[in-house]
Amino acid sequence: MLIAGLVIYVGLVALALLKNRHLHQLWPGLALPAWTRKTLSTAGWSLLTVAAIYLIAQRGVGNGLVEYLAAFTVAGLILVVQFSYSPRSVLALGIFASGGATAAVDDN
Amino acid sequence: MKNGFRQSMAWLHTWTGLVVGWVLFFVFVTGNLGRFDSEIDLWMQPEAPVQIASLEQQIVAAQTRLQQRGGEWERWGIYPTTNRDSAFLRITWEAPAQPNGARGKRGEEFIDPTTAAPLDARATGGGQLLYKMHYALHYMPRSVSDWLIGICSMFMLVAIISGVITHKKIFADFFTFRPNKGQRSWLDLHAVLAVLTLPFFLMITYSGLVFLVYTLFSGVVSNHYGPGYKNRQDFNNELAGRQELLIERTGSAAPLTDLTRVVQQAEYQWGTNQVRSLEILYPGDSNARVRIARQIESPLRSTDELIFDGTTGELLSEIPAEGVASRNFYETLLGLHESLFAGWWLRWLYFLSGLAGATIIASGLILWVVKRRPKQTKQKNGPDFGFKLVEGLNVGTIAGLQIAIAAFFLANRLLPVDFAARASWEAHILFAIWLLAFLHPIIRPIPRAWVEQWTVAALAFAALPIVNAVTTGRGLNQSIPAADWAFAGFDLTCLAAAALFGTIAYRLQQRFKPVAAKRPAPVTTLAQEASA
Repeated sequence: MLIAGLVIYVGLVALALLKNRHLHQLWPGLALPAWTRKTLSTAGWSLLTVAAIYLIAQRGVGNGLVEYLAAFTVAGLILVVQFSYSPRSVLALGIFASGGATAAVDDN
Repeated sequence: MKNGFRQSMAWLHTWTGLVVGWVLFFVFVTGNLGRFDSEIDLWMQPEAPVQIASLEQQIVAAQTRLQQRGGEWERWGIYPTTNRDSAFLRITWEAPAQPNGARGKRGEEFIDPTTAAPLDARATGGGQLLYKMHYALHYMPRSVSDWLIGICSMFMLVAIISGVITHKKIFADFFTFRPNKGQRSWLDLHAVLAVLTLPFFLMITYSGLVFLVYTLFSGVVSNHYGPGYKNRQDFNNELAGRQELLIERTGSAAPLTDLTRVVQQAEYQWGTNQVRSLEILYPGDSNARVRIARQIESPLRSTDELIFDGTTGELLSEIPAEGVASRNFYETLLGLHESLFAGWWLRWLYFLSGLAGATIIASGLILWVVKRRPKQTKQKNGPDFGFKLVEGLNVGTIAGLQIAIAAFFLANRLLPVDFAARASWEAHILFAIWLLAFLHPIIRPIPRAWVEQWTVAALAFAALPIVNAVTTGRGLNQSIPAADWAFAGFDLTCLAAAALFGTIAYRLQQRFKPVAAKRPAPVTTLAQEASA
């Protein structure tokens, strides 16, 4: 569930950056070119989907979906707190989560 | 009807949420503590020895004790400590259904597997009582509480759906919380938590209603099977495919088979540690049946079952966990609600979602006040009675309930161990303290009442680990090195609650202080500034 949580977190960060409100908290005034927006959107939705498939494959449909929603909720709550109180930490945790998820997938 | 669809929904959301908000807050807080009911059970009976008896030993003890008690029973239940849901070996008994069809009288007992005697520990309602309050409330029969909770849940479902429709920027504001902005922040908090926990919130409310389906739609089953509990039991057995249980007593006595042999067969079939519970139908009758249920390992609450002849011990039938679709749907919803399948990680996440749920309800109630305060405080004759009532009920419910729960736990440690009625007095103390918390805002200005109640709540929860250490010798300094996680977890959670409530009290105090010093003002002005 932890690995899936990390993947979901990275996916949510990608989708949040599509919103100018959050993008500008990290890079004030930045305007993303269309292809970057497209990439972020594709990456975000793919990561969210991959995490769901991974959990269902690992834990079965029942447990997998419940754990997916639980991990989604927590990842979302963490992101909300970060954007409200410490936007810069989103990048740090985002990079850590990407690294952690990649390492964990390599291990498997 | 208000103008426009969204405004109508906003109106509906506001008022359905308000009228049942206080009851729902109680339901959410006590139900959420129920995620750790067994751990609270352990904490509330500190003198009970850790039970490490084998399954066989537990079954022998349970059968011995049930037979010693004598009498004629409809059914017995045996719940060994093979999963976290049973902190202690537990037996239950149920009398035959009453002539009017009502369920027979039930009782239960924790027992010591080494002596087959009732557990030698203080009397307490334990975590089970706290958990049961979230659907059975207290001081009233189930027929009343079922309808009350059913109506409140229905309102809640309406509030959730109308809330989603009202929330215009559900995706744009998905991650948005703007702190320190008064009403804006309350609305953000309410919305962001509700959106992120929406699947949980919707599931827990809808499944909560499904639990009450036999009460809320009482005619559906009884029109076909006849009224009363026993007929409903027959319906359930038929639906599950338990044909072997659709029998009556013969009336001729026959000794019950050796239950350990039956359990051995189940373990042979499923593997060790797979037996969750035993139910013995018509014990002592020649038509006795034994039903063994397997551990719950997924949201589907129904499990594989084995049904044995209760006198010969012969295996009669095997029931698979999955049955007809409607039953699977029902059992999955109930399983999701109860979370008996959840391991530690998921259990804590359930708990977290429950906390978010309680916060959503509390912030909604506060939002109602914050939104109306500017207009209300400008009125010539002061705020309306209704407004003041909501303000007072909010303090007494949101902060006061925390004090009352702390008092329930403190009572468990401080009431004399040999006091006969201590179990019921733990609950009386909870409700007496809660009543005081409702009366307190009448005599104090609302901002002061908030600060004072949160302070008391913080102090009470901070006191719990200390009182526990002094009265039991199983304080944090012992429980952490001993890896006694039920105790350590309980005490650490109390400290976390104390820190949270203390922070709230301090922040509120800071917000009210400068204003109060500048201008010693009447209540209403203070209240107005509290909204800033």
